[in-house]
Amino acid sequence: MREVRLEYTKLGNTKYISHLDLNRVFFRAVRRAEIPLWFTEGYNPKPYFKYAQSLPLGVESECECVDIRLTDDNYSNSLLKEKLNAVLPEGIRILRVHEPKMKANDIYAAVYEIAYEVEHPESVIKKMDTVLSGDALYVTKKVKHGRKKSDEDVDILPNVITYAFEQKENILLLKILATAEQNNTLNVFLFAGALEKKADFDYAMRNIRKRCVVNENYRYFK
Amino acid sequence: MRSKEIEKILPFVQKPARYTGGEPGSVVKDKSDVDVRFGFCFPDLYEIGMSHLGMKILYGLLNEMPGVWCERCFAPDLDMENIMREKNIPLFALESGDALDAFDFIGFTLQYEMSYTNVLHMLSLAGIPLKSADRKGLNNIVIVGGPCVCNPEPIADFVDVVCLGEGEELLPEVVELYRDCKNSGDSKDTFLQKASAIEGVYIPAFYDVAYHDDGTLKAVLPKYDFVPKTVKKRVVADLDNMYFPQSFVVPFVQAVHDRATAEVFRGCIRGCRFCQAGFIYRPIREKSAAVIKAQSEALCRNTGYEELSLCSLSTSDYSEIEPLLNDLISTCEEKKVNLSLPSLRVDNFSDNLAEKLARVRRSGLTFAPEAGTQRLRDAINKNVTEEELMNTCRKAFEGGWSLVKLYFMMGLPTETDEDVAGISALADKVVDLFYSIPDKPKGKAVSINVSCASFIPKPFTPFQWEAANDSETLERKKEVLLSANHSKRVSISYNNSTDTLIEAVLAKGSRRLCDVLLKAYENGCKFDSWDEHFNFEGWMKAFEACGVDPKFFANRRIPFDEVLPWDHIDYSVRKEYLMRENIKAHESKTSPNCRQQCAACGADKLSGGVCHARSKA
Repeated sequence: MREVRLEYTKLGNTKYISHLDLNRVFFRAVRRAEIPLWFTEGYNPKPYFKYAQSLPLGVESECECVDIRLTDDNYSNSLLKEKLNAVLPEGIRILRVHEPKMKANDIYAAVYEIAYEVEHPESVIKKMDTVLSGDALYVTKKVKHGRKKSDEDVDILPNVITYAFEQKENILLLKILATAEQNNTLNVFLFAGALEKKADFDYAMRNIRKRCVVNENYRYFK
Repeated sequence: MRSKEIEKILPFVQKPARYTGGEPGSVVKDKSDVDVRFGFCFPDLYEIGMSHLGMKILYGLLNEMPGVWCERCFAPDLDMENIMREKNIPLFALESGDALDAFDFIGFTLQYEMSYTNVLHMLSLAGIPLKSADRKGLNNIVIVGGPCVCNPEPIADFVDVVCLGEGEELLPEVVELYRDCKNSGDSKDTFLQKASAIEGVYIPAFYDVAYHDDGTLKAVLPKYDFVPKTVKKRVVADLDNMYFPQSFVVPFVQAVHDRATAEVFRGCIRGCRFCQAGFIYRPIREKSAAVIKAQSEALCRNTGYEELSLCSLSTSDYSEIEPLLNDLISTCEEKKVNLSLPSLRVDNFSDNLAEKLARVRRSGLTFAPEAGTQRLRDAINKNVTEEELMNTCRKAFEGGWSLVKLYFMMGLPTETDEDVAGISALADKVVDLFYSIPDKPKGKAVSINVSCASFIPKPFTPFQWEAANDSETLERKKEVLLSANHSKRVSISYNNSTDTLIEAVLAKGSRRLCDVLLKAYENGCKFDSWDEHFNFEGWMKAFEACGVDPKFFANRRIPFDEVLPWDHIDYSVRKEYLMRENIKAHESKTSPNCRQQCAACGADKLSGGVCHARSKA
């Protein structure tokens, strides 16, 4: 038995596949590709799939990771990549296959790119900058207190380590570096929603993409 | 590629992967190579429609035709619908994201009557005129098929082409004809005229309906010489050589039935008198075991599904069932595929196979006696005895089961209060059986779920002349049923008597129902098959506004000599045979199944004499 880490993209349509559904997508792709998948040895054997992080629904990514186990130790990484890419839905592409080097809780931060198509990018940048350099940006989160669940307003600005803007014609790019630790992750989807509301602007199109994940020393997660 | 407007709203709706397409197995073609575009619509949510085998077959079949592109379209969920209406986004097909009105064909499969309002709903969301007469050009041809079209009259005003029977041969012929007509610049009317010559095609606009003063039918007559007086359904004679897809679209979002499905045979030898499927899919035609095995293996390989299901009306009646199961069980074990065998009777298998099956079958145990007393089971020709039920339950309890589901119907013809109370009595006997077994599961209590559906008479069954019970009678019978139940181990559920009325009307209605259907839709009726959306008041107001009495269609026994709204439609079973069966029902007499003795139903006349109930007995 051998464990391998698959680095893959989740782009285009596939950004709308929920984390739970993604598991089925991978399982069936692995079966179509006839990969020698290792199953757990319990009463109900299950395939072994372990994701580094879960991606919010509707967010694209160039840097997703899943660990799987193979029964055949000699099964080559390049063959695995080639066979899977032939059967995965468009948008999910295996970029690299290698032995896991870091652990999921080594992840410290992630870079996101939020692209907006807006009418007056300059003025929107100004508005966003005011919000992001301000004191706080609140989102409403479901918070558990023991058994009870309640809505709580949480300031998420401390999760944003740094940010920058780029502009190409009417496309505005907001790049952020944000915490992505296991118990201290920025939900970029909630962040974007709160920012749009507070900065008070409308857009023709928006796309959020996760670009890379790093550890505390700002090395790429591998 | 779909529009920016759609892209913008997707992050804000539930389960957006229902609206994106791009699933493995979905087909995307280059529009410049395509001259006929077919929008295949299922009038319900994605999760329901993506479970349907017929749609998968026809999707694959149409997309194999060069120059034809078939796409899928489902009714959006309410949250999506609200945003679409608000932003003026028309209903779109999943593969291209193009609005439905860009399509040559708008196809609907009609699997249940309670989806009719959703047909209007989807046309309306697409901005397509609802009535056939208001769609003038040779495009947006609304074409329908499926079991419900055996009585197409309640939807006659809204559809252009009705496909009766099986689509595997019929649909490509209609599509090719359309392509020719489009290339020659023909009008819609010319296309419909030519289509009416294809066996299995019914064009409602070419027929006039005449009524007597009391609302009963005088006749349904062709308007023109070139259309047939009665339209025959289409049947594929040889299932082994019939098209069957090598792969399915594998949804991202879990469908209700999310698995590979292999079809075993069509038709049914049993002849239960209430069952429409048992008559309209005749004659019996089997696939050979080798073909089923090859198709199953291809499907599992190409979809990656971890579950395979065998599909037919009664899989135990398949003539090669033992060799097929022996083969499939080994293959499935090797490939780690779960074999699921719905509607399988386990009682008459060899011990060897029964043992193998015991390893496979882990789902709950269901049994459908349909009626509470032997007298009524005889009347409906459900040839199941109490002894058989008890034997099966005994085996199940000894094998460790403690949950049994029992399916019944209420409101069957000739039913008395004694029969209704018999349902509870039968459930009680199963409870007593459990406690009498020494090998019963230790530390578990038995649990019997009784599910009671209201009987609805359907066209082309021996009960087509019968009345459905009215709401008052059904409510009273529910009281009888509940008061006869003495065990806490038995839980009883039943459906609404108000749904029953509407479904009964739509099943047996005449063309006068078209106005009611439209009015009901305008009153806000849609998703009628969903309890939480069913709007009875909207329907009753529609009946009132149109001056139509629903009881006339649902709760009236029709005399044998009255013209039926579907008399101009020929589903191959002879009316005399159905009458004979009806009379036997009232005498509580059973009929042997088709393997024991051919009842000369006449179904083989459309398949060139093929009926495997005789030849593969």
